[in-house]
This record gives sequence, C-alpha cells and structure tokens, in this order.
Amino acid sequence: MKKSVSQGKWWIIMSFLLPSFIGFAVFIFLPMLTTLGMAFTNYSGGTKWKFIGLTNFRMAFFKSQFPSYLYLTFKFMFVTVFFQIVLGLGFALILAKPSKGCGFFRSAFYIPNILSSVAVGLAFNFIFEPSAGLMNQLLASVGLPTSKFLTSDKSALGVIMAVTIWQNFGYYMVLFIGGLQNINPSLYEASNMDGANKWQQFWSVTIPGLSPVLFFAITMAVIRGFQVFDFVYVMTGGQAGGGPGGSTTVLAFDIYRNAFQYYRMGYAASESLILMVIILAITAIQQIGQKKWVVYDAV
Amino acid sequence: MIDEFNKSQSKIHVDAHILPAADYEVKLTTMLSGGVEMDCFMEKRQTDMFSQYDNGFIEPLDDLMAKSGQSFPGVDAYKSAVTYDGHVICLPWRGGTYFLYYNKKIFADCGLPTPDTFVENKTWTWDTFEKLANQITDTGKGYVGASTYFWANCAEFEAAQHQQELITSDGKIQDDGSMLRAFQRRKRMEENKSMWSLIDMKITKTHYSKQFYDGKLGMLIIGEWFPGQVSTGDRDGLMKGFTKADYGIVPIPCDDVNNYITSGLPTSNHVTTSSKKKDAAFEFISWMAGEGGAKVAASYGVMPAMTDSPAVREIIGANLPDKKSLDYYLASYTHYNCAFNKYGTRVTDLIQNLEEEYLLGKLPDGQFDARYRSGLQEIIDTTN
Repeated sequence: MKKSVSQGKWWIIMSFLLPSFIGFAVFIFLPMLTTLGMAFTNYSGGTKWKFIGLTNFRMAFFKSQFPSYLYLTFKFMFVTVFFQIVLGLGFALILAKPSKGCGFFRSAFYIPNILSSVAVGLAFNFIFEPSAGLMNQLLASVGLPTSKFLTSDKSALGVIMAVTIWQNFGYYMVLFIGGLQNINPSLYEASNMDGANKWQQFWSVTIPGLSPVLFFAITMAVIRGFQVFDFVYVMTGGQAGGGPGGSTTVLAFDIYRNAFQYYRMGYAASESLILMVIILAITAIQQIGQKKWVVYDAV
Repeated sequence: MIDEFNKSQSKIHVDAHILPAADYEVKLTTMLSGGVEMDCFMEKRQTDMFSQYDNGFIEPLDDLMAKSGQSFPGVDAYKSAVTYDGHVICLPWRGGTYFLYYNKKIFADCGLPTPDTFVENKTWTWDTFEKLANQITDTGKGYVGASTYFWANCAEFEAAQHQQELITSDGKIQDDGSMLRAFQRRKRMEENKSMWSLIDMKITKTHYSKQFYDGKLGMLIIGEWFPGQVSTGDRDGLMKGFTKADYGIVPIPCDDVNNYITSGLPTSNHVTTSSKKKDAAFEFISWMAGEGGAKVAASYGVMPAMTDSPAVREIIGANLPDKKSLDYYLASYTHYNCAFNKYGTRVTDLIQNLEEEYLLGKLPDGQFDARYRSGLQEIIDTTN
C-alpha cells in the first residue's frame, strides 16, 4: 500500500518527539506516579513496606511541624516573587531602550542567573559571615550597625531571600525586555496624542502589552519559590539541619530530610504530593485569573 | 587503610568508593535504596544502622563470626553499640569515646590549674568545667574558655551520664531534666563568652580543629579521633603559638565522679545482604577490626576499636603528647549513649533544633518541657 504524505510526515514528527517523550516518561512521569503511590505507604527504602492509607497526610497536618514549614515556604515565595518581578520590571524599563552601557548592565544583571546556586551560596556565606564577612566590614566602615545575618533566626531566611532575588531578577528582566520591545510603538504615539502622561502610559499601554510575559514570569517565579532548597542547604547548615532554630526549614528541605536522613520516604512522598497539589492549585488559579488581566491581542 | 589491606594479602582486592564526608549519609541512603552493588560499607551516623537493618540492607554477622573462628575484642568492648535485634550487625574498627582536649599554654598563661588536676582530685564535674572555662575567658586575654561542637550528641553528655535514653527502644520518653540543664549551662557560658557560639560555628562551618589550632581555645570536647588532627595540624604548621607537645587529654566531666560514665559510639563496618562475596567482605572488615587495621588507624592518630595489643598501644602513644594523656585515652570507660535506637537520628535533630531555639531565647525554661516532650512524642508517633 502506498504511504500517504501525511502519514510519512507523522512518523517524522514522532521520531523527533520520541527521545524527549522517553525522557519525560522515564524521568518525570514515572517518578511522579511512583511518588503518588509511595505517599500512601510507609516505604523506607527497603523491600518491606505496606499500604497505610492517609496516615502520612494526617501526620503531616496534625502531628508534625509541617504547617510551620509550609508557612515559611509561602513567606519565602511571596517575598521573592514580589521583589524578583518588581526589580526585573524596573530594570527592564530602564534598560529596554538601547543606550550607552545598557549591554553591560543587562549582562551584569543576568549573569548571576547562569551561575551555580551552590557556588553563589558559598560565596554569600563568606560575604555574610558574621564576624569577619565582607558585608559586616562594609557596614562597619560606614558606621552602620553590623548584623548576625545567617546566624540569627530573625535574619537567616531574609538573607536567603535576598540572595535568591539577586540571582534571579536578571532572568525576569531579560524576559521583560523582550516583552517591552514587542509592544507596538504606535500605541505609545497614540497615547501621547491623547495626552497621556508616563504613568498613564505605563498602566494603559506597557502593562497590558507586557501582560502575557508578566503572567509567564509570575507563574515561573511562584513555582520556583515553592521549590527553594539549594540556598537553604548550602547557606544554613546542609545535613546539619538548616538555619538557627529551624528558621529556614522550608518544605523542600523537610522533604529532603525525611527522605534521605530519616528513611521516611513514604512520608516525604506525601509532603511532595501536597506541595505539588499546592503548586498546581495556585497555577490553576493564576491561569483562570489571567483571563481578567492578560491581553494577548494588543497590537 | 584499604591500600594496606590490599597489600597485606593477595586473595581479596577491595575496590573503594569514597563518598565525601559532608554528604556521606545521604549518598549512602540513596545507594542502599537504589540497590547499588556494594559488598560492605562504613557507617558514619551510627543510629542509621537500625533503619538500614529493618530495611534488610545489613547482613547479621553472627554466622560469619562463628565460621571465622577469630576473636573480636572490638565487638566485646562495644557490645551494645554493635548489636541489634539479638544479632551482631557490624564490626567496629574505630573506638568511640569523647574526651576533653586542653591547651596547656593557655592554662599556664592564665595561671590556672589544668583539667587533669581536677580529674586527680575527683572534682572534674560539669560545674568545675564551667567555672574553669569562665576563669579562662575572664582573664581578658582574648581566650575562649571552651568549645563543645554543635552536634546534638554533644548536648546529650549529661543526659547520657544520667543514663537517660530520651526515647527508649520500646517508645517511652525518659529524661530527668538533664537536657535542660545542659542547655542552661551552654547558654550561660555562651553569654559569658566562655563557650564558642553553637549557632555561629554551625552556620559558618567553623571546624573545631580550626578553633583549637588558632591557639585561643582553652578546652575542646570532641571525639577520640582528634589526636590525629592535632598531629596533622602540627605537621602542617597550622597550630598557632603551640605544638603537639602543648596539649593534654582528660575524660569529659561527669557529675558522679565515683560512677564515671562517658559517651561515644564506635565507627563500624557492615556487610550488605545483597553482597555476592559476603565471606570476602567479612574478611576485609574483620581485618579492619583486628590488629592489622588497628595499627593503621592508630598510626593516623585515631583510636582503634581494638586497643589491647601492645604494638597498637605503642603506635597510639607515639601520637599523644604525654604519658598521662595516654593513660586517660586508653583507660577503660563505661559508655552510655542517648536514643541509640531507631528513633536516634530524629531525636538528635530535635535536640539540635531545641538547643538552637533555647540559645536564641525563643524557648523559655517554662516552655521547654512541653515542647521537648511533644517533640519526642511526635517522633514516637510517626516513626515506622
């Protein structure tokens, strides 16, 4: 039988898709299914385990510090998302138009994003070292009070938030620059002719024009905010248990401890599942809410 | 150690896979759970062996020991630390005892009697230790009186000496207030600057050896492996203002001087249940636990589990500063360790967290007992 052109094309398309589909199935979909199953067991790494229904979920909500870790995770997410987006947008507005030195500043703000989080975390450990660190030396040299930074329960999470914001806002800045450059200049000309000032232009032209990118950036920042782990691990004690008095124990860190330090993989899977449901729910809410403010047809 | 074993015979070749110390426990968990082919392994956090055994990763060694016909002095010396569920499940190669190391030059400079004086007078209690540390700091010469590392088991010494298990193997809470007393002592000392800040050293990853090398620390409580680090520090010129001859070793303080108890667990090796070469793996870990391994361990300045051979004692002696220190180091002690059971790993994390909260002033004395007991109860209720 003679093959149709469309059938031939279909095979070509599938052959290109297959490698990434296999990767997705093996490294994402199957582990997700396994986590889902594991969350309802007392699995601890070996061959002996049993189905325990919702026990892990009950333990998480009623018999552990899980709610306080969840609270810290939300706090981290809100603060970092807000500042990453605001700083990213602010610098994008400044650097979007080609001007002298803008290439340098765009690169300078973006480079932290491509650095390894472990290296960044270690570098900031030295900077925020309380007795002889660069930051305290700088503060002391200009007569400002020094801080205990990572060694205080009041400031440890704040320092991690600051480093996260510093590392990531450049990424959002680049996204926003791309979005700003795609806004039709005639919209600004028209608004000028209508007598709009810069502030009105920002709210009536820039934000609607940028809204698809803004929506994508906020969604990504929220997801990344919930997944924070690396800076907590590197900057506040690693295997030794996180920041002072549990002040930096976010959910991902607790999942790690339960799975790999306490051999409570079933419980850790249930925590992961709760985290995934929260992220999915927030993303869904954002997806529904975007219909009210994201403009895809601004030309 | 492994090279020495490979050189010592031609039948068995051990191919070592070195895991970085900082991530050792996590990587080991992943390897065991993932079914990585491995015949034997070293345990770094001893309380993990209970979960590993319950998960079927560890081979009981009774039959292999009986078949070998050898004696195992390390097993006899640390029986409770190597036995679980009625079986010997590991062979210790390194001993496990905490000691107090002191810098003689600092004591001389401060005009204070060295800790061995108090040991000999039978007044070497925790109050004496605290007073002595305060006296060092109070001289105003820039010295820190003492440092006890941030590991939670270092907070458990007093509870261990009172034989309080914190959580017993059958899931009962046991503490007579020793833990709070230890926290209170540390807080007083930190406030007086006579104890290194626990949180600072944890977050800034300031190693205890660096504190001691810098020549500003009067006393350090740490494990039996420390003489090896002093030898290395001396050899590499890391020690400031003093040499290997200028430090001394005494047992850690104990309030009941007539019924002395110390703390510490040996470091042991296990054979895996999945091993296809169990006899060979056992032969290797037996060698490490025996005189051959003990000589190598002693030459690196760590205390072997097996110390009754004169040849081994001679090597240990060469690494220690003086005869008195050697006598204290090799004396026979009664050991007790809190929560040495399946709850242990989580208990130490709870203790560490509570200690940090206490030192930060977030956990007042009046609330301590309720928080402590609810934390222990949570562990009991949620451990498989």
